[in-house]
Amino acid sequence: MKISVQKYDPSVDEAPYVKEFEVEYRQNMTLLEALVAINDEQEPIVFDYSCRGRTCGRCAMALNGQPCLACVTLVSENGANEVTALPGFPIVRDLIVDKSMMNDRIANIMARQRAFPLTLDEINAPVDPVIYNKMDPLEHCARCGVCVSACPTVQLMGQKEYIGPAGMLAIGLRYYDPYDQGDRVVEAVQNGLWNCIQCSTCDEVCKALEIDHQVIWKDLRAAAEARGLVKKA
Amino acid sequence: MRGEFGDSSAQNGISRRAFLEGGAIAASMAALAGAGLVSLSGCSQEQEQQGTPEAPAVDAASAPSYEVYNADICIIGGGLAGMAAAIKAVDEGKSVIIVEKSNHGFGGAMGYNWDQFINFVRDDLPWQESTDFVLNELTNQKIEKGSYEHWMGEDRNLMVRYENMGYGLLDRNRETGEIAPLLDFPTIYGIYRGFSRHQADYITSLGIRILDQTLASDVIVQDGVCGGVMGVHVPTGTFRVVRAKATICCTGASAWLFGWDTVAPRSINSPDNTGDIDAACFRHGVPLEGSEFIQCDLINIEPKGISCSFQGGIGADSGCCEYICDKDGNYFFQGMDYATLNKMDFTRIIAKNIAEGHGTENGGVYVDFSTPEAFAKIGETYIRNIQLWKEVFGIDVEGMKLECGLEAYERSGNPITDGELMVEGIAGLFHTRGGGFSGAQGGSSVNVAPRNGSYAVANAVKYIEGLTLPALDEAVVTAEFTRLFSLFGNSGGKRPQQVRRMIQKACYQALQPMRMTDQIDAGIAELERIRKEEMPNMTLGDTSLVYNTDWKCAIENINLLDLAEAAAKAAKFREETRGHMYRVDFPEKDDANWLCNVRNFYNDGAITCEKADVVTV
Repeated sequence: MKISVQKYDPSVDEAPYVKEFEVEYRQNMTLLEALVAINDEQEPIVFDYSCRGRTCGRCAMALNGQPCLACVTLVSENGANEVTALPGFPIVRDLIVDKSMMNDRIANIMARQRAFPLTLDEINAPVDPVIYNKMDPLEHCARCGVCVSACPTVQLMGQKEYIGPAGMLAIGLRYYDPYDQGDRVVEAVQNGLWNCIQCSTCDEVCKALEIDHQVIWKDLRAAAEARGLVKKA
Repeated sequence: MRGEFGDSSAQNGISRRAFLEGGAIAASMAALAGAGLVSLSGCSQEQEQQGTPEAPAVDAASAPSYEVYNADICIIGGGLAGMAAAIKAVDEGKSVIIVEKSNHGFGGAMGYNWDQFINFVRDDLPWQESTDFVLNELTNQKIEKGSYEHWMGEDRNLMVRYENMGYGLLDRNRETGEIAPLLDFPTIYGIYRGFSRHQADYITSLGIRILDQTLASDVIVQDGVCGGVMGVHVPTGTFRVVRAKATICCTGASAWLFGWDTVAPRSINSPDNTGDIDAACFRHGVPLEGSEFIQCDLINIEPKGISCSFQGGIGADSGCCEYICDKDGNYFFQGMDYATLNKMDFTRIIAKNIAEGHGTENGGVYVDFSTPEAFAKIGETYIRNIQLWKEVFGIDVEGMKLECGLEAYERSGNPITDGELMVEGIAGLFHTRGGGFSGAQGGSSVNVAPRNGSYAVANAVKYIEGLTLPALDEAVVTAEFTRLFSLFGNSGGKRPQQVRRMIQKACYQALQPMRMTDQIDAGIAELERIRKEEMPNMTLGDTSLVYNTDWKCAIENINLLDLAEAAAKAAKFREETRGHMYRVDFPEKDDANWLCNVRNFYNDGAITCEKADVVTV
C-alpha cells in the first residue's frame, strides 16, 4: 500500500514537503496503524495519539484532505492515502499542530458559571428529561478539532468570527446545563452563532456519533431570536 | 497561553503565583564534553549530511541553558490524583505548578474523554471495616488508613465534589429525569456519566500554572532531600527545572510496557504511562513494591487498531460471565456463582483457562453475543461503540462471537513510601501510589487516586512548614541535562521505537496474567540482553530539538526497561497464584509463604527481589 505523509520541521524547513512510503496492508488497517508502522520500521514521522478510540482527540489530522481521527479512519489498500497535518492549525512538527487557542477557549467556556456551590439536594433533584437527553450526548465531544478544521465558515472567516462547532457545542452544553447560571445565549451570538451556515459538515466528520450539532444550533438560534439578538443586515 | 513563562518581574519572594526565577544559567560543561556531546544541531539530518551546518542549538562550546520555575509544591502529572493535589494546594494557600506530559486535559487516562463510573464509600465506618476499593490482604495499612481518614463525612462524596467542578448531569432516567445511580447502598454509592475533562477546565479556571507537554525525567535530590523536578519541554526541546519545597508524583500506572500489538500494548493505558518518576526513584535507590501485580479487563483484541481500548472497543466483565467461552466452545464460567465473583477471581479464572491451552489464536477467549439475552448484557461503557464498529469497520457485534483478551488497565510497582505517602529516603517527595498501597489489586482507581492526591498534599503542606530549600546544586542539573542530551550522541544502534517494542514484548512474556515459568525466564533473559546490547547504542533517527519523538521515546525507554525488568523478576519471585494472575506451576494461593509483598532493589544496574512484610497499623 502506498501512503504519503507530510513532513515539516519549522525550525529548519522552508515549507512542508511530502514523503512517500510503502506499507504492508492488512484488513481493517487504520491510518494510525499505518503511521506507527512507518515510524517503527522506516523513519521518524512525528504524530501524537493516546486513546485509540476517538475520545482523546490527539490523533486529529487529514487523510486525502479530509479532517479525521487517525485511530478510527481506515486507509485504502489501492487508493490514495495522502496524510497531512490538521488543516487550519499552525504546524508544530510533521503531523502535530498547535490546538492551544481552540482548547483554551473551550476550557474557558466549559468552566461552569454559578454564584453559589451546588448542594447534594440540588444535585439529587430531578431535571427536565428533554434537557437531559439533549445535554448528555454533548459530553462525548473529544475536542479533537476535526469539525473546526472541516468547517467552511471557519475556513472562510477564521475562528474569531466563528468559534467553530466544538466551541459552539461547549456553549450549547452549558446553555442546556440546568446548574449553569451564565448568559450562554449572548456568548453564542458573540462567538458567531449567526455566521454558521448550518451545512452539517460538522455532523458528517464527527466520530462522536451521538452528537447532533444541528439541534444545538437551532435551540441557540431560537433563544437568541426570542431576545432580539439577531444579526442586523 | 499555558506553558508560558510567568511575570519575570516577580523575581523573588513567595507569591501565590509561581514565577520564573531566571533565564539561562551557566553550568559546568566538562561533563557534557566528557559525554561526547559534540553538536546538537537544529538542522535536519539531511542537511547535516549535505554538509550545510547550521548554528548549533546546543553545543559543547557553549553553556547549556535551561528554564527555572519555582513553586511551593510541584505536581507531576495532571490526571485525577494530580488535579485533586493541585486543588488542595491552592486551598492551603500554596503556590503550585503542575508538570504534565501531554497537553493539559488530554494526557493519560484522564485525557480520554470517557464515561467514568464515580463510586465512593459513603459512610464513616472505621477504615478496616469499610469496603474501600484498595483494601485487601497485602495493602499497606498505614497508607490506607491515612488516606481513607483524610476525607471523612461530606468530603467523601465525590458526586458533590465533581459537580462543583463543573461536571455535567450524572446518570439520569431518560424518561423521568430522576437521578439514576447504579449503586445506592448505605455504604457505597456509584453512578455513571462522570467526564473528568470538566475537572481540567476547572483547574484552568483557577489559573493554576501548568507546564504541559513536559516530560519529567528526574527529581532533584540533594542530600536526600527532593527540591523539585527536571525534564524536557517536548515541542521545543528546552530543558526545564522546577524547584519546589515539596514534589508530588501523580503519574498513574505504567502499563505501557505490557506487550505490543499494532498501536498499543495489551493495555488501555496511554503512551504517556511510562512510569518515568517511578523509575527515577528506583535509580535513586528507592525500592519498588508490588511490581508483579496488574489489574485486568476483558476487551476486544481484533480489530487490532482499536484493540484494548474500551474507548472504541467492546469487552465484557463479570456480568457477562455465562456468555464467555474458550476456543472449543466451552462456557467455563457456567455453574459458578458468578454473581459474587470479584474482578480478581474473574480475571484469574480466564487466565487459568488460557494458560491450560484453551485460548484463542490471539491468546484470548470469546464473548458470545449470538443470542439477544447475551447481547443485552453488554456493558454500559461499550454500547456507544457498537455503531462505531458498524460505521468504521463494517462489523456488527450483535450476534457474533467476539474475541477478547485480558488487558492490564492498571499495574503497580511503585516506590515505597511512609504512611503519609512520602517516598522512603527522599524527603519532600510524595507519591500518590506508594508501593504496596494497592496490594494484590495491582493498582489504584479513578476513585481513590484523587483522595491520595489530596492526602499527599495535606501531608506535604505540613512538611514544608518553615522549610527553606537549599541552593540548587548545578551539578545535579548538569548531570541530568547531560544524561538526556547525550542520547543524541549514539550511533549505529537500533532506533528507540525498535528497542521499545522489544522491551514491551519481553515484559509481556513475563508479566501476562497467564504466568508460565519458562515464559518468565525468557522475558527476563531478553530484558537483560536489551539492557546489555541495545540500550548503550540506541540511536535517534531524528536530530531536531523540535518535537523529537525519537528522543522522547529513548528517554522513556530507560525508564520502561528498569520497570519491566523489576516487574518480570517480581513475577518470577512470587511462587504462588494470587490477585489477577494465575501461575501455572504454582496454581494455589499460598498464604503460609506469600502473605507478603515483594520489593525490587536496584544496585549498580542489577535488579533483585526480596520479601517484605505487609505494613500494618
